[in-house]
Amino acid sequence: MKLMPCPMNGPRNISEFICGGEVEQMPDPVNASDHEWADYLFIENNLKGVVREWWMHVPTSYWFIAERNTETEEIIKTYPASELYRQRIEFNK
Amino acid sequence: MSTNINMRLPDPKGSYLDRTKTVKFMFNGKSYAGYHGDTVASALAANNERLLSRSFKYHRPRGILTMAGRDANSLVQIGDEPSARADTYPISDGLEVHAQNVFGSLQNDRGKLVELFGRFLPVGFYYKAFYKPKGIWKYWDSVIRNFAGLGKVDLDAVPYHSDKAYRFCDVAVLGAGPAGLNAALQAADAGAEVILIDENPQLGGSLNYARFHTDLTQTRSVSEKLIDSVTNHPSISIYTAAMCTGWFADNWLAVMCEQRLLKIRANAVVAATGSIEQPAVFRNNDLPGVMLGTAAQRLIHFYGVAPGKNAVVLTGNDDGYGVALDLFDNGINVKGVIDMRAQPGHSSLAEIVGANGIQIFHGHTVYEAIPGKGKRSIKGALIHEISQPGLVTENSQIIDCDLICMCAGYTPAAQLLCHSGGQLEYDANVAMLKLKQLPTHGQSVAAGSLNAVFDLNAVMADGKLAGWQAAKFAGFSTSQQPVVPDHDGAKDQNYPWPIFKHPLGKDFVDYDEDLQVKDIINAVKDGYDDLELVKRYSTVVMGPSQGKQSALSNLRIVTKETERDLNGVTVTTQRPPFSPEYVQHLAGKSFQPVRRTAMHHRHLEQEAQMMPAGLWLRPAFYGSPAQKDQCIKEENLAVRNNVGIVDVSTLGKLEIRGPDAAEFLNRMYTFAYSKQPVMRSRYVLMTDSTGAIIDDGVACRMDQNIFYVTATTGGVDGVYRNMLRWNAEWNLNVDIANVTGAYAAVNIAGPNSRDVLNTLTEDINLSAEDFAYMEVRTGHIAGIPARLLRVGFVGELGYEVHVPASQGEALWDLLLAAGKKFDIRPFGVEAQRLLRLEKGHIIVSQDTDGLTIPNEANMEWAIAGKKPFFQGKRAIQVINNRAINRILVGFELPENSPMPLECNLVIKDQEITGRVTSVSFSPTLNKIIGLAFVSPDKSEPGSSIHIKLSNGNLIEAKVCSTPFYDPENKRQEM
Amino acid sequence: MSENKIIADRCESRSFVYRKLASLSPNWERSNGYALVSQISDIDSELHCAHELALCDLSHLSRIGFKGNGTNEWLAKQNVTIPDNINSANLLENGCLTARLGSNDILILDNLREATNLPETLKHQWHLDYAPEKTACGYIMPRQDSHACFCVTGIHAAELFSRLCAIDLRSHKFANHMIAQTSLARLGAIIIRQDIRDTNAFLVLVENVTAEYCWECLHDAMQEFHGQIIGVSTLINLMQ
Repeated sequence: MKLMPCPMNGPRNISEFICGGEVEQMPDPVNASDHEWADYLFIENNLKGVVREWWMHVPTSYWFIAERNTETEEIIKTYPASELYRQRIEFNK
Repeated sequence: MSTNINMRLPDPKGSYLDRTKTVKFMFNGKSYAGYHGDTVASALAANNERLLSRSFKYHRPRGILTMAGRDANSLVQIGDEPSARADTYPISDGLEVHAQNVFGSLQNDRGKLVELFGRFLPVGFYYKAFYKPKGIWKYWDSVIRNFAGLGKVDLDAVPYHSDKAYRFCDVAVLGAGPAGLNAALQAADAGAEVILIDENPQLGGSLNYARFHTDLTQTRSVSEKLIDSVTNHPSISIYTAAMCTGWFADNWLAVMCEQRLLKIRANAVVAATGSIEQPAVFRNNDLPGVMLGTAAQRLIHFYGVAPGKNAVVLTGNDDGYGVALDLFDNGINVKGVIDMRAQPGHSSLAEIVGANGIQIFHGHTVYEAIPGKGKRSIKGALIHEISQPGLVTENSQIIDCDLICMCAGYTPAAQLLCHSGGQLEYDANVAMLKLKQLPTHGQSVAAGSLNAVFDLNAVMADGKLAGWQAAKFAGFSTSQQPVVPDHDGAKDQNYPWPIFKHPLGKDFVDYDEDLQVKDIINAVKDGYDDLELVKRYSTVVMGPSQGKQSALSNLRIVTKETERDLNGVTVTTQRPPFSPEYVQHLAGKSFQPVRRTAMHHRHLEQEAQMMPAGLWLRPAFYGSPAQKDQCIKEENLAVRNNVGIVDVSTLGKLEIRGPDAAEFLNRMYTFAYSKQPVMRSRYVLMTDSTGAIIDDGVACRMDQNIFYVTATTGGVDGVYRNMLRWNAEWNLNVDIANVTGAYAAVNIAGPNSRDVLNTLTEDINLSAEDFAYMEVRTGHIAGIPARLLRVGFVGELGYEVHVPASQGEALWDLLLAAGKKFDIRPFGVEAQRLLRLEKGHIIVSQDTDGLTIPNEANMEWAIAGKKPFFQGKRAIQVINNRAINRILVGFELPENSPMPLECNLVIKDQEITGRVTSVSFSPTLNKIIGLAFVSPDKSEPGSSIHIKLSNGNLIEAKVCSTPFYDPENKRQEM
Repeated sequence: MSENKIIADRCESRSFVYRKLASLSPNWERSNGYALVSQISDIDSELHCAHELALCDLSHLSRIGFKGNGTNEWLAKQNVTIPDNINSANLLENGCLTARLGSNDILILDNLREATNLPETLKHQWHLDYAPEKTACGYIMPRQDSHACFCVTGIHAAELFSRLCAIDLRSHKFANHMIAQTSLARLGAIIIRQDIRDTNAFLVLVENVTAEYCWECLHDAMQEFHGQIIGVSTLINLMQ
């Protein structure tokens, strides 16, 4: 059983977590082309190497970011989502 | 048979034995006696019973091979347990042991006739033989399975209690031999908390049976001192008779200990699992009486049993001389040491052997074991002079003996290391597989013979070094790094080619699968020229012992036959488990959480039939299962005509709070919430980013900044996660709380619901004018703080009452008491679903699937298109520009029509155009009604659609508008 | 006053495991709107169990949570000291316990021995202080009703938990007042170590709706160590 170092709860069995998929920048929902939007929705990069993903510790419902190597399965680092998302995000008409 | 001969050595030989306790057990219907501490095999050996089993394919007689639970020869049926290992299974009074894979008796197995046809059973036989004509395998399958069975599964076996538990430590040490004991001690002395695991019942490993020094007492005293220190160390927890079967990521070890699976999480691991002695390959090397040198030593030292009377020791290293001396010291007549090496190095053990008058044959091998009667034993060893690797000269002689001990060398017991990324490769310099790489996730170290260190002093020092290193990994690095003295590594341990192919065969490489040298050679000739391919084609190393005795020989033969260089060759991948596991241990105690509402037991008392809804249990209906339809009908009519009450505590409940609460809902749901008035509720519909409907409910605005939002029973956890996930990105000023379990809720519905509730409320005016449909109030129900929602799911005047969960049962009691004079009736999920169907309301995930977009479910009205953003908005915009190809409609069936089932297909011109999503007989409307997906051209009311029943018949249904019942919605707005 | 007949099913607030307790024919007392079990067998044997391994239902124990922006500042204004670190607890002078479950997610438990009614006081004050347009003061978390509260005590407690969860709760690894929010028998649980004098003790909070299941799992796992269910008065006795 792999260990995931949760930024809030410390190292825990990976079974206490769910993966929320890759961290992706949402294109502008108004101005993006259909192609760009479809790419955002459906195309996973599925990279070999270091990826940045959303993970959640289920017992605390705590979301955070993990960087891990999909080739070696090494978890390189984890940190609160606030380190990546500092600003309030607005949607304009 | 010669069962009266006692092979037991005199007391005090046999470190596992308690000779004060005699144990009687049965083997194949005959009673045998042994001592407490004996295994089935050792007790039988003490009674001179050598035959344990019949081989898998040829039904050849087999006996003790490893005495360590490592081989398939020892598989027997014990009670209801098939394929138990006789050489490690302790005897107990009354134990019933049977041979398996036997036709007739073990002594005279009719299956042995198969051997006569052996030349018609070539390697890959099953692949070649039974595939023509087509379908014939079905016949042969049962014949072969019957013939090749390994024991019987008892379907009536009573499971025993088993469970799992975690254990934690800084350093786990696998193996309590000289390396493991030293590693444990060193790590513990450094301050680490240590768990020491060994599969044997006693600590010591090879110290307990191997002959490292010429002076046995020296080995024993080292061992005793070491074991004493380890046993008394306060920081070392010892698990003996514990089998580590798997080593998983981040040092998570699976250990089978008694009737429990221990899940050990270690910061660092020392692997000191030692090595596994390998058989030599020669004709009849499988018969009872031919065993590993270490098996003979284990029999002598652990169980005080003489492995034979007249012995020949075949060796390729110095350890064979130790075996010869152990036999000699215990009164066994050693007829010769057959040393395959032409020029053995200097060995003090060899000198003593010679000095004791034992004949030594250099550059010779056992070429064939001469079978005794029925091949149930051996009566001699045919020895030949070796000419070149694998070949012999005519120079031969026969030595009479009943025991041949094989000491051809070792292979590291690296299976566990390999589970988590360790790798082995062949080092031709020492003719041995050696560790090439440790587990990839780090924090582990190997020691002892596993690490190709064989000299006892070096092994002990290597253990110390490993313990020191592991403690350091775990954060303890106080002491000086131990130094390993110069040593010879694995030099002279393995004889490079102990394989002597015989023209008549029966020179077994793999005992489990009855594979001879020619089978491996033929597999290569058939074109399978890679280890992995040979394995799958011939099944070599795939039997119960998983190649523990065969992998090395197989690797040597395949490499030679494919004319590759042995040096650097790697073995096939090792996977868990290292040793067989009981499925029951893996299952352990099962944990299946159940969610019960506050009123759960009241439902049971009222004879509710419960049904699962996710992890919840909900009342399906109240009353006898035999009267299900009648109960549902009565519950339905009670709501329509009088008053009913349903437990809706399982509804998801979320609180969205903060200045951005309305904005947040705008983004998560399709509707618009900014202008929603306080104390009003509004429908919520959630779509995912692709525009598919994933949840619905209502949002109650409690004040400007606080929304109380319901979600579906099964959907709320996902909705909550989704909300948290998005706000981690958006950073809106909002707090999201999942309060599903904190509130119990009931829906009291029906024309008389207001009157019932009125008797219990003081601070809420329930009149239609003061508390209108879709409005929300807070107040008290007989003193219980409550949130009241006027909702219309079932289509009658009704109130959803949400109260603190601890007071849910009290609320239920109060409402039923107050409703008694109205003849209030509790109703279940079945009636609730029917009531809402009559109103044409959808249930998300029943009437929608993972692709249903709002337009298909007639939900355009719930989309606020002017909002800048909501989850799924962009996708819905794109999809709405295209034609949809299905739409959800209501339908009804003519009188006396058969009842379709949910998921029956809607057919148009022999094409599937949709399916029935909900269907039921409505007692109110007195007809069958339902919802179904149909093609858009059939969606107008009055259209005719065809539904294919489960029996294949097509029936015609009429599309009609919804709601079926009270289309003007007057009753719910009373 | 202790009563011997079952009164739990007539109280306005009911523990989710009151039927389990009623089957043991205990002595009942009323507290905080609940019926609590004061004692089941004699005090000496219950005290002995408490030292070895025991399970006690504290669902009646008054508790509340506050969460969201402004929580910590508002609680500071109420003179409630919250722990510096997430996943740790703090014993207030009045015997109440504050547990920090997230950066601004605080759970407050009343003093078991002598009720201070701090949770009720804070709830009342919050309603006075809260107004949508005013500065943030966090939001109430209905912990009294969302979670059941059990107490596991005794020298075997950590080993009991090792059968149900993957956290090392042994005393030398899991200090007093540490909190583990983890999976317990596949349930989300909050485990708070709060020793009672020299007796190792843990508060276990699980969702009320899973309390019965959790109780069964704990009770089953206790059997190996002959653990018993004990009454609240025994726990209070331990405190003295």
